Amino acid sequence: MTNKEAAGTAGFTVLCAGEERTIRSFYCCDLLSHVMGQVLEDTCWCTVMGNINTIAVATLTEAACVVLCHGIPATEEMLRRAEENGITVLSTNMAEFDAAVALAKAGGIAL
Amino acid sequence: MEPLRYELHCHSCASPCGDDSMTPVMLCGMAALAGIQLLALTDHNTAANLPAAEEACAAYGLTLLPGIEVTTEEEIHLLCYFPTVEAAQAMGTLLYEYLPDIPCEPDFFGNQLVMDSDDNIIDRPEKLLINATALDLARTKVLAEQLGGLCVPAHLDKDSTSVLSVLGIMPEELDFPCVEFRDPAKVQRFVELGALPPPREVLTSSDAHRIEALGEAGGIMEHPEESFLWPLIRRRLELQGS
Repeated sequence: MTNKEAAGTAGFTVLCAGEERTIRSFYCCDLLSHVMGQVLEDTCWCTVMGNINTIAVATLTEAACVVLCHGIPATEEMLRRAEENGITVLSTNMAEFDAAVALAKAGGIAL
Repeated sequence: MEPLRYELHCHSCASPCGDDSMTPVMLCGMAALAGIQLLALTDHNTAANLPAAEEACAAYGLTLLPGIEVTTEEEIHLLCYFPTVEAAQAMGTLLYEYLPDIPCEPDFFGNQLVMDSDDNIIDRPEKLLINATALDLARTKVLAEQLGGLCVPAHLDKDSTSVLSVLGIMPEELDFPCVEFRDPAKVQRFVELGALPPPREVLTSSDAHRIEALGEAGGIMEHPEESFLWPLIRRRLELQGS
């Protein structure tokens, strides 16, 4: 499943459409330093951290996309940086785990 | 005592996000030109450039307040100020041990340059210094205080890495009489929301990462003797005098 296809899944809206990438795994975490050390590339990262640092970590880890959960808004700064770095950012009202499960089901990805 | 012009939150080239031109000598020289009298260099989780800054401050007639901006386990930035460079270095050594074993990738994060007072690079710490340490807010405060330090929560009005953006409210059990705001006009709003007990003192510094930002730096302490940081400031003035 690509991040573009994920964006079309029910319950998700697009805040920033970045470069197309294939989602290979999911990760739910809010501590940036932890994500930086753990996340593999092409991960769909579900978080509530809607600030510019999220994009820095997503860029570094070559994340497939960032999903902002619980309807948490993104700062303007975050979206501007996402645009510059080609990072896809989705929004959902779901909790992190529920968002990952919904996308995995839609994309037929094993959790 | 006369009012004191201060800049108590800025970064040198030891911070990966600090510009390479922010050498301790350059920083202290620019601060002196900007009319600052009391300068704290507060790099992320390191005291490595404080010895050079202390020498440069002495040369430019500034008073250095040794500082570190600690990233706590909760990813909160806490400014820690110390009576001596040695005390700050002791904290720095401890922080390095508590940083995760993730190397700094200079192409992405920037260089981490430790300089001497002649602007020579003498070290490049391996671990990424902006990461969160494994010390929580309460423990960081205790450790800094054990070394004679005082703590000030950084940029409470920032939408990331501040106590209020991460925890929502100031934890009741922690006593921070002095806090930092980028815009002091916002203090009242957080107090009214019940997120922050009315602070005794609010500091405003530049958080400069580039030389240009130092020009607009700092604030003025009208009555330095009444500042929460006065015990440290007095000590630094005495040391400078002797």
